[in-house]
Amino acid sequence: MTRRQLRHNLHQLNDVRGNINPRAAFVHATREHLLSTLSNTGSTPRVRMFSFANMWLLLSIFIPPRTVYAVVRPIVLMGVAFGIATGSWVTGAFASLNSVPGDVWYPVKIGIENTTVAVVGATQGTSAKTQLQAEYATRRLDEAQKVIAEPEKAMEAVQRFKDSMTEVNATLEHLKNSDSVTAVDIAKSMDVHATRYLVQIDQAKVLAEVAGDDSVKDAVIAAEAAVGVTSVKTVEVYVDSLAKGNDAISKDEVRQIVDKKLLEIESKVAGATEDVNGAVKSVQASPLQPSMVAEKSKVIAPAMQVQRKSEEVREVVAKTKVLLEEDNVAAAALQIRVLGPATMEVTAQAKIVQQAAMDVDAAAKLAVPLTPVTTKSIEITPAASTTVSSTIQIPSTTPNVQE
Amino acid sequence: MKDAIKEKYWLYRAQTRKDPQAYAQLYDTYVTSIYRFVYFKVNSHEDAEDLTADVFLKAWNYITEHTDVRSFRAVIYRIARNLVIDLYRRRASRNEVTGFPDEDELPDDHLTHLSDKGVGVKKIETAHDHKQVLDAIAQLKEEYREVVLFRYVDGLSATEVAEILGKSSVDVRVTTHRAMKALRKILKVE
Repeated sequence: MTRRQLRHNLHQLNDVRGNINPRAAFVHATREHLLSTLSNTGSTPRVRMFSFANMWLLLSIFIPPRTVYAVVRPIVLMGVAFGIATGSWVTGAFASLNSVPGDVWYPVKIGIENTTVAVVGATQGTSAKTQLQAEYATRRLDEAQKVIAEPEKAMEAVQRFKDSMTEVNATLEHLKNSDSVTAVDIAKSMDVHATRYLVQIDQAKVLAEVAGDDSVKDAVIAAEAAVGVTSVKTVEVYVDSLAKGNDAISKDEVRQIVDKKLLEIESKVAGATEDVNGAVKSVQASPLQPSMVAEKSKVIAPAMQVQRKSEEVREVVAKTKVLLEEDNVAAAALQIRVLGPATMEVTAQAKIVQQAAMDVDAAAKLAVPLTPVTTKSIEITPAASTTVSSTIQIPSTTPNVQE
Repeated sequence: MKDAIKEKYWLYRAQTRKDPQAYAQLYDTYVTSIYRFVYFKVNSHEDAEDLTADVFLKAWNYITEHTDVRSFRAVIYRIARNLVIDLYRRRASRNEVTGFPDEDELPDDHLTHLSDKGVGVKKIETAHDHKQVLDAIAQLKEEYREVVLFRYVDGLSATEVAEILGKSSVDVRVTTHRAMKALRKILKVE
């Protein structure tokens, strides 16, 4: 007997065994018995059409075990891991998109933003990174507006905005000396953003005023100052680029930018002067007791300063315009460095004057009912206003205080 | 291949939907081979019928409680094997207690009965080669004999035999190789 014959004989044993069959009656009866038993005991629970457990069962039944272990399982696990990772990331990202400081998702939002900024910075360079930071800074101001009534949260958003600005300013300062082309790119973009920030900041200031929290208002004003610094930095970048003579920015472009900035400055200073004059007028019109004259000085003295400062700014603006006409664009641009902070100072002081005037007005209104001479009546008569001394005369253009 | 896929589909339905009809299909597919497998071990139609019915009930319970069933064939052969072993044990203990006559006593090594009784075995004996092979199988040690029968007579794969015996498929391959070597030695096959 050969090996082949041996195998053949072994297989034939099964054929021989094939002569033995179960009785048909037994097979049928057992089948029926099985069916009835299973139907009665199984109670066929309703199984969901799709479940991961069934899916896995299906895979392991139909795919050979080795394939399941070596290929399918790792793939499925990787898929699930990827799904969980990206799924939760996407869910988190979407959930956090509209979150504000204090929300559970807010740290996630900030985390995602920081990661994105880091990745973009590493892959696409400083320009793209700063652009992104500038975009995200807008979100901070939006958030601050949303939570302005809650000082702590609003402060967080404003602080983050300021941090972004500080970082952008540092980037501009750094690039100014190394890569002026990129610096000019960023500067141009930041100029656009700065305009938007200032609009948002103005809104935030009004909201903070309404909310009545001074700390938030101060923080918003500080944020405005940071934007002002950015504006100045951008001009420095342009001037540097012009000085280096590269093609990053043309003289005409700088001229237009300076022109635009001068217009903004003029408009701000004019607005501040108008505010101050209005404040002074209202103080003059207030029915003040003689004892409250000292209060008036709290309005008048700073008002004079504002007007003096405004005048100085206007002079520098005029001087800068002359420089521009003389085609000395770089020198004109550098004047913005001086004008920017000066304008901010003027507007900030104007706000203080306005606030002081409002305080005086409020005090006057409280004081008036007590003044009417000897009458028992506490009725406020129009004549009361005439009793107020209006010894202070401050012309709107030339400040002059008489006490 | 088509049958294999159908079988897997029935198994899937039986497991996930507890579908008796799907299980009935599996029963139809395997009832004869399980009956033969059991009959050759117990040499009694009555016992073979009882055990076969029992095998399918136990197999249903098993597949509905375990999700890691990859081969239904391996499951029912394993259950059949265990039930046969249980029967031997019962018979052995009953004999000890009741003291049944010696001729009814089942030898410890049940597989030596492959050629002792039963219609099939008698038919096998008619063929000299078959008898020779059966005698040689009978001389193999239990472990080898079982593997040879599963692999070559019942036509199960090494993986299925591994599942039935609770061993790794590598173990089964090695054991099969050694068993065939021993068988060849007995039969003096070159």
